[in-house]
Amino acid sequence: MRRCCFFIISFFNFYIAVMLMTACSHIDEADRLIFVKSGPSVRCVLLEDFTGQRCVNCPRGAEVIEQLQEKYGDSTFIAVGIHGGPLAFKGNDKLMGLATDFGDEYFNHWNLEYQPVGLVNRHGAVNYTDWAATVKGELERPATLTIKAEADIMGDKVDIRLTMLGTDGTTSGKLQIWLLEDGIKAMQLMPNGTANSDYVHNHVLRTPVNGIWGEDFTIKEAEIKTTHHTQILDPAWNTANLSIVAFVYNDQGVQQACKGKVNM
Amino acid sequence: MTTTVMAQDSDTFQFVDQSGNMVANGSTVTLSDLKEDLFLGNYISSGLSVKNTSATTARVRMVYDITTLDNGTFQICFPVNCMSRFETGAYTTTADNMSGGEQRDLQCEWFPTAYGVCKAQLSLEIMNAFNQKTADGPAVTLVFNYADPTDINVNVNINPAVANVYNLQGQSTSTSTGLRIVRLTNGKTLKLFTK
Repeated sequence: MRRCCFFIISFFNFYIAVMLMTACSHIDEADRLIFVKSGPSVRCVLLEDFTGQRCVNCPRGAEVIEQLQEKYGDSTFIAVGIHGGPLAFKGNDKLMGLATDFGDEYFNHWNLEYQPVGLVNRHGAVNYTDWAATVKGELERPATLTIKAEADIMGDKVDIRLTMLGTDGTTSGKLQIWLLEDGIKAMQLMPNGTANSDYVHNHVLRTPVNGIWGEDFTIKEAEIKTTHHTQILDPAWNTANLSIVAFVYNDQGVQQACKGKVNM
Repeated sequence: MTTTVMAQDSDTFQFVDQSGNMVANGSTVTLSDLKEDLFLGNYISSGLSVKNTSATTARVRMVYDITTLDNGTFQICFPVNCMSRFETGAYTTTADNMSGGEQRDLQCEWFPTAYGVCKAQLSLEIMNAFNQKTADGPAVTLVFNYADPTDINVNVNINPAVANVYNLQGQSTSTSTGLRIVRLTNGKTLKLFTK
């Protein structure tokens, strides 16, 4: 299984080197440790699955995601279920709905016309029948930064820490952080037309942590950046099943993504 | 100048109603049975499927032209995706293979938000592996009608004919006075009393 979030050993070696450099200003410039590229960073692939509880074909899309996660691992192939658009269900006093206003905003922003449909690293809409080939192609592209995500539950909040390392040139765009939940049992319309009240919805986008479109972000080669965010927990969320997805995107799509479990 | 005439193939794929009956090419199907569902909302279903009547795999897509949409959403989930439309217009689905004998539900429904009508023509197109159309398949016109059952104008507009008249014993009768039960061609029954 490929691990693309972060090269922990090389990063911390570099971090120690930086600390040594700043602590010992009398060392001759020629003798100082410098950042050495270790080859292109491995890219994680983000799939934004625009799904809906009233979409009969959406469980077929979920099956494709399961196959891709099995093949690449869920930290390399990162799927996020966004319940938005006309087939998403906002719920009522009897049935739980997973649709959200921000899900609709994402759906409308990307001018999506059908479901299930996905954005693979934000390079345009891809029908679920083409996800496997698109993901494979995207995994072969090098990345310009690495991201490490750590998150812990602290009382009624999630404490989120990200560490980014620029590995090739300067990367500018937006840093987006999302909170996901797995294992949500809720109604789903199935391909045979029946409604399944015990359907398990995974990697459901519960909330954007730092705004719907994230925050400005720039990192230079060899630069290390850390961020710290907190997210108030909703009592409806199962804290045992939460995870964080962080990614940097710009007009050329998602440049890197990372997924981390929220620790209890 | 060369004109290409597209072949007609109304046999490979057929529209099938919810009773399993083939729907003839060019038919108009009128639907008015509103279902109220806590999960799905209020909708009128077409109940239609598409069947590959051949013994081999064939590729198909659909062109659907929504000509009237008084309100609400027209939805179709065929052959691989679900689409919801809020405006009239002609739209084309993606194509997909259907194996020989396979039948696939269209999940074609109208979700009205008020009384009104939704009309759409569904046309199948037979495709090749390169997603090029090779022949026109069958077409049907759907008329979804969500009418106020208490509105007398509805019956006037539909103008159903009298299918049969029965007396209180359930026997067919031709009398035009007294209490009768009248069955109309639209399936409704009325009690009539004439002095």
